[in-house]
Amino acid sequence: MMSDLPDLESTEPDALERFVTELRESGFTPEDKSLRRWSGSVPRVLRELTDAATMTIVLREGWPYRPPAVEVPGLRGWHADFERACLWQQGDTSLQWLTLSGIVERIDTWAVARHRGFGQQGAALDAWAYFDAPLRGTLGIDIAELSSILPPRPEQSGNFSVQGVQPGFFRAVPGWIEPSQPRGRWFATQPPEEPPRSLDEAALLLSKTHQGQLDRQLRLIASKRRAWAVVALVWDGPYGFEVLPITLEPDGHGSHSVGLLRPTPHSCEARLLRAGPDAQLLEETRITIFGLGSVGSHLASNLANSGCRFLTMIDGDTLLPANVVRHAAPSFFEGYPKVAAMKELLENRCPWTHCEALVETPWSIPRLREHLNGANLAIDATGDGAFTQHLAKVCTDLSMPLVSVALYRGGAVARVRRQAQADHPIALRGDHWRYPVIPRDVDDDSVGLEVGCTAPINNAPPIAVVAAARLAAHAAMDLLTGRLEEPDEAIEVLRPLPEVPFDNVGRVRQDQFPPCAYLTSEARAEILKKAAAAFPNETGGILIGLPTENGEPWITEAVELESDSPSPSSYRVPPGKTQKAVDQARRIDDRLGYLGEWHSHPNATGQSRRDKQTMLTLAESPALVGSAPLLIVARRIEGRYELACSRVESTSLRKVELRSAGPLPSQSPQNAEV
Amino acid sequence: MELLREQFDQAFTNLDLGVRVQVAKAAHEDVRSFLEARPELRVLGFKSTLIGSYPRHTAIWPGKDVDIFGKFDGLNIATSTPGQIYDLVLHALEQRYGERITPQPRSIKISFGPGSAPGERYLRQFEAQAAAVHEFSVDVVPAVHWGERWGIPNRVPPGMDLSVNEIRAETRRLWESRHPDERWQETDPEQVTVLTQEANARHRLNSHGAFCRIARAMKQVRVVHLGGAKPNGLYLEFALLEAFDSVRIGLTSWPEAVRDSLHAVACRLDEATDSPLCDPVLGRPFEPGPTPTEIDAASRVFHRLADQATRAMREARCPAAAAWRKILGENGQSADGWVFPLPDGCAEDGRDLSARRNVLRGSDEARGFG
Repeated sequence: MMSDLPDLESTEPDALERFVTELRESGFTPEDKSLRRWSGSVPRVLRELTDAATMTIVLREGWPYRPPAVEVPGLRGWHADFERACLWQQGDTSLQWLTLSGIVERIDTWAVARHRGFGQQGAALDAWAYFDAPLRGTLGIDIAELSSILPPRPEQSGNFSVQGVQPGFFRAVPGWIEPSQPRGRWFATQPPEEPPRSLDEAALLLSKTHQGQLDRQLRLIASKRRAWAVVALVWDGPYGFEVLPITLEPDGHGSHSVGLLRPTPHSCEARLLRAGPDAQLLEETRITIFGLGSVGSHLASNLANSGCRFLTMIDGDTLLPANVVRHAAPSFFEGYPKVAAMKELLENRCPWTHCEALVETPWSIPRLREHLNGANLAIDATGDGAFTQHLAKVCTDLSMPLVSVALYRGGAVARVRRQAQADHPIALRGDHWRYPVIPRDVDDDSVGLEVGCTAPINNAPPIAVVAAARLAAHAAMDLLTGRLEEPDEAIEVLRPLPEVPFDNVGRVRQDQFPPCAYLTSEARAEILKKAAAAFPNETGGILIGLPTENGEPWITEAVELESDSPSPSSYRVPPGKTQKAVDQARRIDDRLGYLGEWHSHPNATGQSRRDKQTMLTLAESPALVGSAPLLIVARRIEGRYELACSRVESTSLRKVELRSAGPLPSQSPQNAEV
Repeated sequence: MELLREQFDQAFTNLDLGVRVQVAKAAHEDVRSFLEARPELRVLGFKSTLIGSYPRHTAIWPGKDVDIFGKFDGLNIATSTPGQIYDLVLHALEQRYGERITPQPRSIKISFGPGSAPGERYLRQFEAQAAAVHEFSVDVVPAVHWGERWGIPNRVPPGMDLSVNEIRAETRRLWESRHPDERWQETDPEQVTVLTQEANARHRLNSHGAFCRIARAMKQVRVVHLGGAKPNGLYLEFALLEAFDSVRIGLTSWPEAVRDSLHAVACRLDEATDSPLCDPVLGRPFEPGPTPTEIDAASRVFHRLADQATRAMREARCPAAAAWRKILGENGQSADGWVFPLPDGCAEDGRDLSARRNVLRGSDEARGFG
């Protein structure tokens, strides 16, 4: 007994069963035992486009995520690929085809568009895809290279040779160079209303003269005086030249057989189209890159691919066999200076990029100035912190924008620093709160030392290298295009580290930096003094202050509220004292309010379970709803008290970094509400 | 440029000996009055003065000792040996201070502490202070005439791989030498004090003597950034004397003076291997001087700090204060331990803090912590 379901494994068998049932109920019948091809009536909207009464819905592998093909015999027109209506673009996720009604609805839409015309975008679709002949390969062809007049006039034609590059891949070269090479002839035509689907239809597009030339080619082929030839029809379309390369071969019976080549442009301009929209903005760009190691090579490659016109690449190293695992240059270039390898690679791939390769490791300031002369941007990809600092200072003096990239902690973190006109100087960032220091690992990042080499090998994996290069290229493009949408320092965590804010994968944002609280010297001294005075008992009190504009607590006072039952192991805030203390502080400065609690531990133990429980309970009290009260514990270590701070976050206490701050400026009369 | 005048004044105060001056004063007065009253010393013309950074006003907090120069006016290097006068002073001090005496290679150290305070009056005044405030020592260095200058007992050059007892024995052998210039070492520390005071009077800034303040700042930088490694504090003072007298130190503001001094010291260190720094009184290369490695390490540190200081001078108030704070580091005297205080509204990370009103009054419920 024949199965009711198609011979097709689907991830959605229930949906498939429903669809097949709908087909049957709508009068469709299977064409064969596989139940993959179903014939049914052609929808009315297609009847003026075909004489056929039936069409076929073909279920293909990948159903339901891949749409079925709809074959309509005799259907003609753009967007009908060999009688298959091009109903859905590749990648369509609408699943409109899950029902027959959905398919018919789409056919209706297609037919209306067909009737109105698909517009310029539709006409730009590749003409070769409609030509009904076996595909023989790909032809790299550029009309600009073949024709002296652009755009070529419809009566114009010319010769070219067909050079084999790889099996199935050919290149059209102007003129007939060698008799052994297959000959080609191109004919310019008027843009057709619809693409030709056969040699006869193609011939109709030619002028009488060109038709005669085509006939002569066909006679030569048929008489086997020529092994094969290519005839290329060329017309000017809305998105550049359309080319239809048709191959002609003897068929062994005194005639010819027709084949097809898929045309592809290989000009500089065609490649530049893929460089993206920024390529035009980079026409005058000159970049000097220091360091063409793993990160630098991928970075240079990204910049050249994106359309940069002039790259000066500086590196004193040679490409070693082990380098090629992470370097952009392939093993073919082993033994080349890294810069020479990259020059070869980039100029070949990106003909618009002129590369200067300098095999050196410059430190002298005059030499660096010389290399930066005329550049729009300096890039440091040396991964050498000392050189980065040196170059940053030179660039500051020259007002030269700089982008510096490096990987840290075995490739766990990539950091790109930009030093443009309005940016904070790189040399000063170590001291600045906006630029978190990437902590060193207690274990070394390096995997060892090469023999005779003092530089450790960074253990960053290739993926981290490429990620760092991408981040740096993005920063460079952001700067060169003048968009400046990126911050002057971008840190990307590729593998989480234990340290905050590097503990989550992705971009580090300033709001992810470890929470901090500011503490005045006076408040700190008060806690230390009261804790020491109360020893061996605990004491404590409350923290008073106000939030900064960024929301960090700024503790300006620490008030002691003496416990009504002093003890070496506990501290109790007496009832009814807290708000009085706050009110007293407010009488002096009405901006102040309650920020949290403090107490001492006369031993080295940190925050206790009871401390945590009290703080969580406190945070839920109506008086503190929505706030995150702080807790400072002063614990005694080797006779001295040290402070540790935390704050309530959800159901836990999160460590808070205490930073020193000066006193609160006095309130100006006109700015009482700061 | 942010002058941060108030903060610099406070920073220099934080570098001073502060309450420790009382300790030093009580301690050296106690020792000097005792020694000058001893008949066996008086008969040899014994008189004492203070030498070292304390009387030069270049000592920095916490200043653990003060040096007493015990001059025997009736003796000279030809007619006496170091052993004679050293033992004379040692025995006298032992009678009063007993086990608190520690013989040093060429001096005698007397230790003071909470249980052995040098004077009741100051103990009462500072009884609330931590015990560390009271820990102090006095070094007595005996000396005899060496022409116009003075001779102090010679010592085995430091750095020799010898035990304490071996050093003592070697020193004693040296002191018995037939040649006076082997037994004694020529010095004139009082004249160094005079030079320092003159320099301080000559170079003034904001109605303060600039030399001593700057010398203290450089010494603090050495402690913080060189971990106390050579060159020592006196070497830095001599380098600064050269720099001040050759008008390489700008004296229009404290930031400028500190920056120029850092730079001048760094540059002098760069030249030091080929052109050693000299003792300005004796006119001879400073001894024991730093090694080329030590000079190189110190030069790099001072150049780096000079660069940081230059950048701090270009910064706004808060980042400038944060930078100066890092340059001068901590010494534990101020409330938060840092030498350079933060101005109003400035944070240690360089931020200029502005604030919003806090409406919270807290909870009046009783609560307990463990």
